[in-house]
Amino acid sequence: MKRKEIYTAWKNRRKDVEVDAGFADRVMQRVLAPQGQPSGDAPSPRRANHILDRRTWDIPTMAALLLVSLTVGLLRYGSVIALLILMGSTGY
Amino acid sequence: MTDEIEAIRRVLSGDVDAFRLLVVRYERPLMVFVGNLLADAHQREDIAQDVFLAAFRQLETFDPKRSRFCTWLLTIARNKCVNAIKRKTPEFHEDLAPPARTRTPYDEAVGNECLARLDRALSELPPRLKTVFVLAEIMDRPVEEIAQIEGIKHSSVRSRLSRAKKRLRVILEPYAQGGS
Repeated sequence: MKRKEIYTAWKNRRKDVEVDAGFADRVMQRVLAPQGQPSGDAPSPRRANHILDRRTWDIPTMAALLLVSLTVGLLRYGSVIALLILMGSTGY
Repeated sequence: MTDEIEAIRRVLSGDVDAFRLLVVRYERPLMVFVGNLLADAHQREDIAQDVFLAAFRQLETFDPKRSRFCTWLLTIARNKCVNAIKRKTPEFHEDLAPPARTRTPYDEAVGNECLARLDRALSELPPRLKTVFVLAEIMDRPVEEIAQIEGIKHSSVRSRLSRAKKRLRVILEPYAQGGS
């Protein structure tokens, strides 16, 4: 058996997918369900592109990360800042 | 193609039943794609349904000037499948058994072992190689379309395809008998 023949047989096997006869009906049931109705409002550009958008960095995520970074920074260097404020207030 | 655009126009103007034409036309390529990426049969069905539902809900955003409807649909499917694969826990890892089909006499002749090993090799490919491989080799999609679905350059498609094939070639080495 040639390698190419095996490979072709395997590919053909993987192409041979049976589609359930009721699949389209099940999809249409979900589409016709109330929540499946398209909204009358035009979607915002962000919402419209969301489905094709591979980025996971949206504004809430970025804001949360910034907050965490600031908190960690403050905890890490808080004593230094406090010392500087103390030195400043005492006119050292 | 014209009836497809007409169906989309009708759906957008409120004739929801017109969406059935799109489902019936693309259920098979979608199931081949999803079926070759995901191992679990129930998950395949769920994801395939979700893809059509997402397409229906976002149909206003589809631009026929930018891509074919099928390409757009496969892009949604690709993203959903990759997310599903990433969510899957390692212990759930299972062989990517072929989607529903009957075994042919040719399968028997070739040998279960080799085909099973190829199935396993496909299941073990990283998602970024697997999606490109399935689109190119199983679904015979052109490089341009794959690049659009993956959001990468043509050269990257060729590179990923080459790496995926290299991994599968190793599996076939012991079975090579004078052919290439």
